[in-house]
Amino acid sequence: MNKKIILIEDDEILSKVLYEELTEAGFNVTRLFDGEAGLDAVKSQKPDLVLLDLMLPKMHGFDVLTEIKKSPETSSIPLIILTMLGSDEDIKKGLRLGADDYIVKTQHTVSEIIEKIKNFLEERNTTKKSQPK
Amino acid sequence: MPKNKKIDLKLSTTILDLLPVAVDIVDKDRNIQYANKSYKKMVNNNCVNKKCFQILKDSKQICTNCPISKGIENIKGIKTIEVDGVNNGKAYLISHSVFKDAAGELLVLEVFQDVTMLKKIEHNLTEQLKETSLLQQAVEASTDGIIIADSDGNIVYVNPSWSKMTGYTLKEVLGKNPNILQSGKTPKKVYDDMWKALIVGKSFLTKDIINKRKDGTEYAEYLAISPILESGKIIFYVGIGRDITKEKDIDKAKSDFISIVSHQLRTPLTSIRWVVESFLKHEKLTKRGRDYLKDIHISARRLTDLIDVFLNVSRIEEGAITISAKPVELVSFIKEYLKECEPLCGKKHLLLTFDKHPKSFNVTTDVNALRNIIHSILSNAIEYTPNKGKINVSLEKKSNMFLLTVVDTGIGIPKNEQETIFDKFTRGKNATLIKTDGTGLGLYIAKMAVNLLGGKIRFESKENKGTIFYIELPIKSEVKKGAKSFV
Repeated sequence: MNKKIILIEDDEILSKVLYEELTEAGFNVTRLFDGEAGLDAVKSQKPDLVLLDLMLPKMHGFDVLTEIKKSPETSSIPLIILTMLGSDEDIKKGLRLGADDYIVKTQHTVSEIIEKIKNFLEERNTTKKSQPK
Repeated sequence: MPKNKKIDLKLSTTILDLLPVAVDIVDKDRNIQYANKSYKKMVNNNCVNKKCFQILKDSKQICTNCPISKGIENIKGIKTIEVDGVNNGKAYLISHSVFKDAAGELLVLEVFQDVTMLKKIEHNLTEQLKETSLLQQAVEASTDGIIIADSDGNIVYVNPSWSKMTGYTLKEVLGKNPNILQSGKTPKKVYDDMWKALIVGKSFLTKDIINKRKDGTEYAEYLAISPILESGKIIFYVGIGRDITKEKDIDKAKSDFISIVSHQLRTPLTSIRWVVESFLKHEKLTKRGRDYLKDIHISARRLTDLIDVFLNVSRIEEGAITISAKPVELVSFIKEYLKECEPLCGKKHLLLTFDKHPKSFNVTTDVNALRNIIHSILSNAIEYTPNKGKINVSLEKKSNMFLLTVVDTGIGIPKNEQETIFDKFTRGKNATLIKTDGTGLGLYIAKMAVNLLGGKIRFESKENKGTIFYIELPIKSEVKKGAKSFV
């Protein structure tokens, strides 16, 4: 079954490109454009991965992250934050709030980003499988 | 007291002639009945039967406040008046005392006291006082805060503007030490540097003081402090202080603005690059179409780089750069960067080599700062080395530092521009001929980054021959706490 990804990114074009590339790579992607809608979608869909931009309208990415990690039903969902280059403080804060990894939008090509996401999920899968039941 | 009241005029005149002061005797009509030698000397002529006021320059007028005006019989005791405008140019105090002569006639004895010198001194003093008063008024009225402390550092004077700025009146701070203003937020280095200068009799200027007012509020202060020396010893300190909180806020707003604008520009630029990447990946294109897209991509990349440069400069200017220390394997780091340079080097047929280096070299440093330094030096080398030239990179350990050397056969930096080449917005004249649109910020950022990492950067260069850059950096960088990192 295709992995479900929720993409919360407010820039239309960045969101579209990521959506198309991720869909082509075999993922089932839902796109949301603001923090509130994103949070609701995560709660209702419980995806395999959340890609979370930080600068979001209606609710800031950090607040969305905090809420996701607060609720026991969503706290274990893998989450990657999307940042711009040079926002080291954002990365530090995001990881501290519970994000599993980060992707720097400005420095990588789309292909590199897709690769990173694929590898991330594969690693999670292998760790999950190797964990004793 | 002689019993015989009869005046022995002859004896008296002998004595009077011996006096070094001018003396004359005048009757009620102001006729001079007698004048001693000194008087005659004073008036330079014969004066018997002349009027007493004829000694004056304007010999028609009687002296102002002449005691004889009110009637000679009304002069009680000694009446002294000041007279200047005497025709010998001097000023005198003339004392008048009345006595009766042998005939019972009332006469006035005038004694002249030369007060010219005293008057001159008085005049100079008045002028000095005026000047002091002027200076004092200037200090009092100055809109800058002025504070004066003695050699022990105790406040002896503060002007009204100082009181306005700090909230303390002169009374409240007299005898106290100016460190009552310390907020604890001024970097210790500022005070250290200040005392270093003052101790050797030098003035000191700083914009980095944060003081605390009487009411507890803080403000940024520009302080210029000078020691006042006497015979080589410090007797006073004079400080001029100004509240620059507003200026600092404006500066910060400017930096924030550049930062926000640059930040905002990156999202649409990333969009352009991503869309072009997707386009190149998925769509069927002619060779020309593909080339056009690649050009769009290169332009977008250049724009991104430019914005990163501005962002870095604005962060450096703010003084807010954070230096983090992460483990980095230098050899692979450099190799990866050089790989990115290959396409451009290929185009120009440049021979880019990285041969002299240890097998692996682990350091702890700020990756972004390091990348900026390497990028700045290498991109210059590539840009300004003509086709078929050579660029060589080498890396070696130097005790607790590592040395990165970049040699090129490029256009070099002209000798008369070598001193200023690290300055902001400065580009070599020969460089502008090759590339018209450089920012002149690359080496500035490299130098700032090197400084922040605690290293050194220098170069040797000969025009039309080439340049060698030596970059020395600590193997273990010190962490620096700031608000933002290098981009």
